[in-house]
Amino acid sequence: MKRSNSSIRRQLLAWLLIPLCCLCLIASALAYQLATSFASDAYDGQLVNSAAAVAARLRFDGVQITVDLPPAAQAILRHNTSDKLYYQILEIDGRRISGDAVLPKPQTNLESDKPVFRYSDLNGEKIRIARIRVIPPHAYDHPVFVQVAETLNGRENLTHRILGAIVIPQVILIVLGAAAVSVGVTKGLSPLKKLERAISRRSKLDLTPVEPSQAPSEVYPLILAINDLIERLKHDIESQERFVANAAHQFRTPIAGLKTYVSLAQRVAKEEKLQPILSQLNSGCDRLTNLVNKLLSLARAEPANKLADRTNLDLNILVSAVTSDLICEALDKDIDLQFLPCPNPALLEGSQGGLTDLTVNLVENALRYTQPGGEVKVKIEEGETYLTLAVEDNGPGIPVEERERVFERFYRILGSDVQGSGLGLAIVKEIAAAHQAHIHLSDSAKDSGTCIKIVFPKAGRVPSARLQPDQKGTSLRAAANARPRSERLTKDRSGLIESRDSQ
Amino acid sequence: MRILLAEDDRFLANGLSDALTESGYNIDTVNNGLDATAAVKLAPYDLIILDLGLPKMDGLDVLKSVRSSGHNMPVIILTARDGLEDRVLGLDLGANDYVTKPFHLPELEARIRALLRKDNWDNHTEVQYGKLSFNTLSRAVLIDGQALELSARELAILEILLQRTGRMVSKQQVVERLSTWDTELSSNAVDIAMHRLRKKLDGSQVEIKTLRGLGYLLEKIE
Repeated sequence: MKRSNSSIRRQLLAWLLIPLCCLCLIASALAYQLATSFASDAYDGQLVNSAAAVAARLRFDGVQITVDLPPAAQAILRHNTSDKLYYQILEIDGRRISGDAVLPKPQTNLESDKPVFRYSDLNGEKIRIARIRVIPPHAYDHPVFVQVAETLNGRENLTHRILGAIVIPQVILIVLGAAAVSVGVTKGLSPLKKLERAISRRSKLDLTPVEPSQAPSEVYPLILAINDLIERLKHDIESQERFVANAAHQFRTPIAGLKTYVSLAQRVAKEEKLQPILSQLNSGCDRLTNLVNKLLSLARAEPANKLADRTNLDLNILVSAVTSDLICEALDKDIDLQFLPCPNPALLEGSQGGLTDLTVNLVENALRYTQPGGEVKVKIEEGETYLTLAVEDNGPGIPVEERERVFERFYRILGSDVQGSGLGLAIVKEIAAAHQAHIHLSDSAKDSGTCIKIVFPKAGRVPSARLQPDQKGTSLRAAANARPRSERLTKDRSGLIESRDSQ
Repeated sequence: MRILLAEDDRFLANGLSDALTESGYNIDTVNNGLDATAAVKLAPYDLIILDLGLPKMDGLDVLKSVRSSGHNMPVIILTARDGLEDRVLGLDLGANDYVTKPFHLPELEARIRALLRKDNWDNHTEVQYGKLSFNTLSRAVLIDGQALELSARELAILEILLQRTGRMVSKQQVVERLSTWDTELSSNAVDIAMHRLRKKLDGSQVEIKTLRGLGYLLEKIE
């Protein structure tokens, strides 16, 4: 789709300005034409007068025709304009009787009694020639032509002045008109601009309808259509989530049956060889259970569900409880699991269930990908406007190019033979988003390993612009870029993230 | 112990039924809510395992109907939903426990034992009567510290009698509690088992009295 063609503003401007300019140009041209023709008529009239003045000085002495133009009269005749004036008296057959010799001979309309005008060239200059046919006094059968010609300086001068007088106001008119049209179009389109801003400012969690009451009647149907779309979108998202939740529920009963049979088989199987097989079957069932439970907690954390059970809680207490529950798994793998609370109560408004899920998944994930003998640190840190939950391990770390993708559902790093659902970090992402929290993934302070930080706005604080969920994407992307850059980015945001050196 | 299992998923129901039978319980299985309420009226169950998502009549409605008709046996709710509301509602309607699917069989059995112990033995794990002692967890019977070998049927009869020491138990009650719909115990079989049990209880200062035409009674011999 070509964007440039679809601008209403551009189309309106084109449809208004191009005809406006054309009309102005046509009007100018007509006015110019008219004015110059009037001016030309006036000059032609003068030229005829000059010719008549010359004709009045013709004398016929019975033999030949002479013109009696004393030098003073010639001076007056020739002086009165900025142009050169020529005159000539000719026989009908073209022979010159008197006057300037340089004028071209008459060729057309030789019988006309009215003045005849034409343009011609004289020494490279354009001239206008007027010719009249007169019969000098007493020369009854001896008509002659009087030709008077002048150069066009005066005419051109006037033409230029007329042109200036017409074109300059027209240009001003066009410029002012264009400005007015442009302002008007901008004003007229401002409801659309407002609508666009209102929609683009929204977070992806916000599926409330757009407020239509202020909209003009042309935009109103558009808003209704958008609201209708939002409504359908919401419905689709909800039904998809319901589907996931229902599907997960449906899985539970057959899995329960499977587990029951496996337990029964373990109990009644006499054959020793069967026991390891059955215990593999059992752990398969447990993994299936785990996966289904994770899917359910993901469905619960979906934006549309918004984790309704929001209360004020102390992150220190919640995370400490969750971490303690996972201590057995850490001991099994011989991992040193530590919890470092922040000294003050870490008060936060959030969903107890959601944050529990989030912490469980973060810590489980760290435990799962850390080698035996490793170390996992769970920390709560406090800043002026934020609380940070950091889970740091010294496992193999997440390759830079994988960092953005590990938060996708069912994404698992290739080549890792660790068993996991592939949903843990997706759950973390959803729950963090529902809490307007920000996720930072970076290298651990140690040589290897990963540090995932969840930065929550503090309780009672309106989340500042940079904690909006839509910013999270950028920070994830930034983290996915080369390491030095992500470090710089982290430092740029030092208002949010403490420097690593403090660890 | 006779247990009613109300579960519409045949796969899970068969598995549970087999596993619990293997553990020595008598299991009747129904696969819808209406049958569950009917079954409760027909036979004396010691416990009900009730799935919430039953066809024809929802599990919670079954529970309501069972409680309102005066039956007070323990009820364990099985549910695939893990919403808090369902559990709270279920417990408030008179369920004694709940298990979320998928569950571990040993856990479910432990919960069954705990509820039966509370119901039948008032939470005691060890019951002493005369020289006879009965462990409600392991179901081991000792006379003077010596283990007593009993068949499953004999043990079940002794259990019933021990639950109601000093009170009469009718032959019909014994038959019903030892039967399932599939295996109706004959009155004769009860007589035979009772005869053998009597012999084995010699020297325990406890005897089974027959009240002719009425039933049985477990009494200490002074």
